Amino acid sequence: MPISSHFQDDQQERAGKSLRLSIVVAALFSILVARLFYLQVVQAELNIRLSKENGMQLRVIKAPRGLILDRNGQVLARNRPSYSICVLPYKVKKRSDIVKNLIKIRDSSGHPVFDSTDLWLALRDAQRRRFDPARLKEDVSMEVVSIIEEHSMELPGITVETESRREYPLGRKAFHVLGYMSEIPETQFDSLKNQGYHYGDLIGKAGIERQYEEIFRGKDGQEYVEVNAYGKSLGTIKDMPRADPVPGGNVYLTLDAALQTVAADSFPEAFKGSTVALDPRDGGVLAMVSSPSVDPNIFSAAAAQRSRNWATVALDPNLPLNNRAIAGTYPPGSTFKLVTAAAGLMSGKISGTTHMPTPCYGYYRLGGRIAHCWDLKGHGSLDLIGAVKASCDVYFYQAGLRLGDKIINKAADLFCLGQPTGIDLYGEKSGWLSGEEEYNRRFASRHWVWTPGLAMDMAIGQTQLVTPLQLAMLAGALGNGNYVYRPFLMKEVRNSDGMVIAQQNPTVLKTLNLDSAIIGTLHKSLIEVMSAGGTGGRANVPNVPVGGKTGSAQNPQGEKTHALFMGCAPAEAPVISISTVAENAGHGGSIAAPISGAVLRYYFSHDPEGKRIADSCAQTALADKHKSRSAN
Amino acid sequence: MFEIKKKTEFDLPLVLTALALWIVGVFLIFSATHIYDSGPLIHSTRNQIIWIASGAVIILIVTSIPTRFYFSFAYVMYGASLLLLLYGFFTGVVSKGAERWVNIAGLRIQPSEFAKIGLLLALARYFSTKTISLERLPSFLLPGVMIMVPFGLILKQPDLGTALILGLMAIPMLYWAGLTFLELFFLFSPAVSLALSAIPLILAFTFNTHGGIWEAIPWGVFFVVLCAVLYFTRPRMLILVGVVALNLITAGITTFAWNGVLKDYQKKRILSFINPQMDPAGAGYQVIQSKVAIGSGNVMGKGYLQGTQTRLSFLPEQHTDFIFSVLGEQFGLFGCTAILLLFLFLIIRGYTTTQVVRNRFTNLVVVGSVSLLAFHVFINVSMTLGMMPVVGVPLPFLSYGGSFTLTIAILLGFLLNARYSKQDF
Repeated sequence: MPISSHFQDDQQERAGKSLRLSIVVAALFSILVARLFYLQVVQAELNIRLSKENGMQLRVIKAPRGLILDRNGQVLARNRPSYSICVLPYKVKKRSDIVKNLIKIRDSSGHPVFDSTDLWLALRDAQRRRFDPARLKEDVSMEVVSIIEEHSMELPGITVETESRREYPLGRKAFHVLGYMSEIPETQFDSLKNQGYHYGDLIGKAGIERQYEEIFRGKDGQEYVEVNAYGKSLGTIKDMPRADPVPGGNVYLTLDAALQTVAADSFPEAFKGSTVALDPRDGGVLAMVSSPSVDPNIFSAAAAQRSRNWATVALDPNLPLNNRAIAGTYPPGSTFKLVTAAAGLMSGKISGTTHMPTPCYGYYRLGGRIAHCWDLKGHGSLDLIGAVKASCDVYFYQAGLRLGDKIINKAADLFCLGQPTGIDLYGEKSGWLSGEEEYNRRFASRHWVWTPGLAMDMAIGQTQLVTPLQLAMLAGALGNGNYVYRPFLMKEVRNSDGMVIAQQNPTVLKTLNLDSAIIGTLHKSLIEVMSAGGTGGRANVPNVPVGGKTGSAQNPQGEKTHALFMGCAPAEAPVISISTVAENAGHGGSIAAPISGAVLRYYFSHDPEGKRIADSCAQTALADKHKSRSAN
Repeated sequence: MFEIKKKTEFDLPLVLTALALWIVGVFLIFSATHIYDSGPLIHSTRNQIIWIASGAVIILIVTSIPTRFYFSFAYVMYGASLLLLLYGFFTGVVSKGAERWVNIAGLRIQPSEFAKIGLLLALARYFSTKTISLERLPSFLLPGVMIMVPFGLILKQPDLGTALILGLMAIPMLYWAGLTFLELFFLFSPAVSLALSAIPLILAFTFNTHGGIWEAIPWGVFFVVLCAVLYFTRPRMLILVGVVALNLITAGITTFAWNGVLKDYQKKRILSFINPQMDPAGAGYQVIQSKVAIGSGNVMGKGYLQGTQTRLSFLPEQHTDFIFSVLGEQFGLFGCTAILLLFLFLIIRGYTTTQVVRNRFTNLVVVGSVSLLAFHVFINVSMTLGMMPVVGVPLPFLSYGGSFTLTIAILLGFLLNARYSKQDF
């Protein structure tokens, strides 16, 4: 028997040691039991409640977004139900059966709705989150939905989910005013989280949708549903508090859908630019078109298409997302001559009958500089009204030199040029008025220095920048002669029951307080432009006296001049003022005036108020005719 | 003079207890995984049954091999387990961020499981011919090295839980080999100093508070107690000075290193090493859910398969390391205590085995095996009760897992072998 040298343990020692080890373990285990007692008896109530809440999830009930309507209650943005075909992966027994059955479904035109490759990929991806419905096809037609629901037995795990999508009936015709919706970008999500937004929520990204996001949103409701850890909903919990959603407010705009449509249709797609129509009596925007435009409905399309569309739009060198009405800045050109005229009249340095020392021979010489008139044939000697009508540059060169930059800018400031108008849209540019200080500051880096001669360019609107909206305001103010109103789009907000919950009242930005003689001269000038021999004839309206001014502004961007027109009607008590700018399109009289004219003519022949005024104008004209006849 | 047992004995109570625990485990694993009708977990219950069956075979094999075989090959197995650890160190498959698996002949095995067995046998073999005492400091040299090598390699994996288990397992074996409780206290007092001086610093860092002088209080109290014990027990001067010095140095270095040397990112790394579950997204999510599950079980539990935490699958890994929370939720304090009593019976029964065996090697193997089981139970349950960081230590018999089930089978085999096999060497 091999006996090793190692020890054999002593009986008593073994007993003692194993007992002590057992006691230590028993002591350790009693700590565990004590802790168990604490958790399961002392804290039982708390833990039972926590375990119940665990299976509970606060589900958001989306509040329906408020509508956008025009001044007459026509819907400009609404919500439509959209159906998506989804799959609950954990219910799918055999993927090939699902695919086989789904690809049989055809839409009304006989095309298959699903593609088998896409389906396989989508089904495979869906497996990752087995209890979450995964989208197979977004935004399908009602027909497809009914086919799927009829055959639900053959399509286990296939469900139809309803969601709401924004729809814009006017499409591209009102894109820039209304704006569009898009998913909250990840970068902004953190700051919006506190305001109750959820991941994947849509948010107004431009225009009215963005401006009145808070109103449109309403308040999402909440309810408790029982869910498992995978978020699979097991149903609503009845005895838990529930908050019903508060629908968003409906925003009524000052916009006139019909006029907006006409304006958009009249603006040739080939041109970039803008047309804006205002009511100069309160500042309400009647129409606002920017070209090129985008159909906002593409942002509500299915995800794949949406991102494709987005890429096209965002990368378009013509910048179709820009609202040129408020963010496009253009040299006002000859339209500014009315500001110069007003400056001259207000300062008393020029009157309606003032002739300038040098008649127009087609050019004007100041020191070494020869500045040409647009008409190289020359206009001869003109008074102020004649000079406005002929748009004589040489007259206004001299007016500019006589007045200087400060007096011109004082008038421009009074007409609210060179400053933001405060319209309720995001992204407005202020434009720019020249003048000694501003000029030196702006061009300091290029070492350009102001010289008094530059007042010549100011007088004919060749250095300043204005937005089409400012131009429309200017036209309205010249006709109105009294007040300049802040332009605005939102007229009132009504809740879902139709109660008015907010209203926007007209705000006076500037009070002109012009002498009636000055107003008369300005009116006369505006009307002369539209008469035979003037440049604005193509914006005329039958029976209604229109006042206006064209402009063809030279610009560094292209060979052709920007075509501008601004006008108001009836000229002496305008109910509508309008401006049109077409970038590098040619002359104001031939390009911009017809666009504005189409809008004006539509307004006075279709709009109830416009028609009434047109009728009364016609009667006055008739009466005048009779009077003059009877006088004869 | 040598005890040679007249008849061999098969320890039926021990086997029945183990079997009962295993069966409970299968039911709990089913409860934790039955909601899945596909995916990687659907075969969990079946797999566990297969592993238990293979475990039974292992038990029979381990039991029937003569004890002297283990004695003879103890160092060989220890060496082999170290080689496996090293192999894993270089080629290991990363599973959940820690290198814990190696592939050998198509099998995925955990080298750290083998390290437990290897160290157990090697320490038993070493102490079977030697005693250990603080009076003779050189007697610590070899066993110290034997423990530190696998301890270090496993810590490096990083697998704090297993390393901790390995270290803890050695303590009862040292006790059996001759150290008194007092000596163990002195020996491990620097470790306590390290923990007590570091924990307030770590907590202050985690919660971004500055306790200042208050951070030194837990350690201060411990140090006073230590000095009092030293004063009343009057050990040899060398030991007294050594213990006091080591404790002061440990606490000093810890505080200095934390406040002066370590950068914040290094502190964070240490933090995530100590408590891997502590991530900023959901701090201690698992532990909170586990505590809620167990606590909501109340006295009698929600009933088998009725656990909402389980049914709604709020607890990840519930069938492995957090199986105790399934038990707690569905069977309450009653069920938990019953299972803990079963464990306690198994452990005491295991320690009592030493009453009928005189062979010191066998007894050391028994003490090591039982202690290993006991620490596994204690650490795992503490973890699920939120008393300890989640360090990835499974619960014997109840947790799902192949490698660990086989380790348990081997340990159980050792216990049965002690009574069954001839101790004639």
